[in-house]
Amino acid sequence: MAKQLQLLSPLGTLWLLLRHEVEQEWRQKATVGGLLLYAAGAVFICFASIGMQVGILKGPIWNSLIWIILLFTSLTAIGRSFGNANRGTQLYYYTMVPASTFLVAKMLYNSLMTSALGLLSLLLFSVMIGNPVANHLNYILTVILGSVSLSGTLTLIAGIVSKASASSTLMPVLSFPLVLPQLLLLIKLSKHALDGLETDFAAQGLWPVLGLMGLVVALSYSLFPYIWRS
Amino acid sequence: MKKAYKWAVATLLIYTVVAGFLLPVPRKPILNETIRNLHFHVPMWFGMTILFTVALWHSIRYLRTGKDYNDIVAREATHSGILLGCLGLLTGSVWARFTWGTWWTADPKLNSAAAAMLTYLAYLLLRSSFTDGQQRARISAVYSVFAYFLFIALIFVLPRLASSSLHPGNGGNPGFNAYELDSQLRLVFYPAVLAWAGLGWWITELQVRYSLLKSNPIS
Repeated sequence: MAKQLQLLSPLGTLWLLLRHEVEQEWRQKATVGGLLLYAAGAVFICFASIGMQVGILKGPIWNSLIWIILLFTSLTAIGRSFGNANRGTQLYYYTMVPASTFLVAKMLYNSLMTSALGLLSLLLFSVMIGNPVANHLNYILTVILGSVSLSGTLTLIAGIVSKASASSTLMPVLSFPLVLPQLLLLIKLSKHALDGLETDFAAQGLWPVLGLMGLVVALSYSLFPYIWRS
Repeated sequence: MKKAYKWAVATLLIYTVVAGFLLPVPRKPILNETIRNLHFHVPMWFGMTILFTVALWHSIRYLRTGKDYNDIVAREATHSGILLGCLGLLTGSVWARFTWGTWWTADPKLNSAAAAMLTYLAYLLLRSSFTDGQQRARISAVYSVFAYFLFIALIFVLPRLASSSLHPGNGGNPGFNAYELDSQLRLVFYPAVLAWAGLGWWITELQVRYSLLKSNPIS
């Protein structure tokens, strides 16, 4: 891999890192399986706590419940994204890859993973609890957009937390207030898809979500090298 | 020179309290005398924002230069910013009790304010969870820069996107400068902003000097 890394363009490096990340995850199937079970378990808990009735949750409550599940699943999935490589591997990456490329690879990987988990949660949620969504395409797009933009924030926080001790409580404590603006905007956006009154996706508050996502990604991109150095 | 600004802040604070409570204010239904909170609640939040901006500046400086001084100023400015924020929450809550009839309510502006305080309380928690001083300084500076921009989004952008709000200046409510009270209220309001921000900086400066003395007694 060393020789490959030196010869590659930035985009090639990115692709290689991303592939490597997926391969590594695939080798440890327990973690992927764990995350799938986590999402399924969370949905089942919701199902059980509303008395195992299909279709009684509607509107804003259904919407907020699914976003809470998405948030917790993303938190758990991304929280460990800097923890699984050992010191030697990290040092190796540090010498071979620019910090920003490494961050972008992590973000892309986390976005892919949380989008997959988010769509799975949505599917399970629809099967167990019911699906009152009027505009399915817009709702699915919002879930993907939400997963991507939450990954943007959570990846940098995971990087911060990986340098501190006592990280099990630190991750949620740092994340909750920081993801709140994004989460509120996303809930608003997805509520429109849920009601289905307006079909034009862009007119319903897409720009604030995209703007905040751009801000977060730009900040992470410029700040990550300082975390990486230590 | 240093003494002059402290005299100025002390004078402005006394002026804010005396004039803020005694000068005539416009009589508005429901608001009545509670309009005087404009001289306390609002400037305190202004002061908090200014102090968090100071913390942002010194965090960026720390990442650039790595000087301990910048880290200490960033930390202490955040501390006094949180202090002013808590005072702002308290005064706002008391005001809400007498105009809205409740201490706290589910309002976009209020929720944003609460989340903003949580953001900076999390900063304190983050600082306390490092054992290595340099690592603590660098990672906290990164968090501080990251948090500041989301804090701005929370406080200044989100409440304006909300469709309804009780808070003055949001959700179609008139802000205080929409009233024809330029001459009366502004006479106290602008000095009050300087006074509360100056008090915050004064506390910050003392804390910074104390920290520097503690870490390096000889100088």
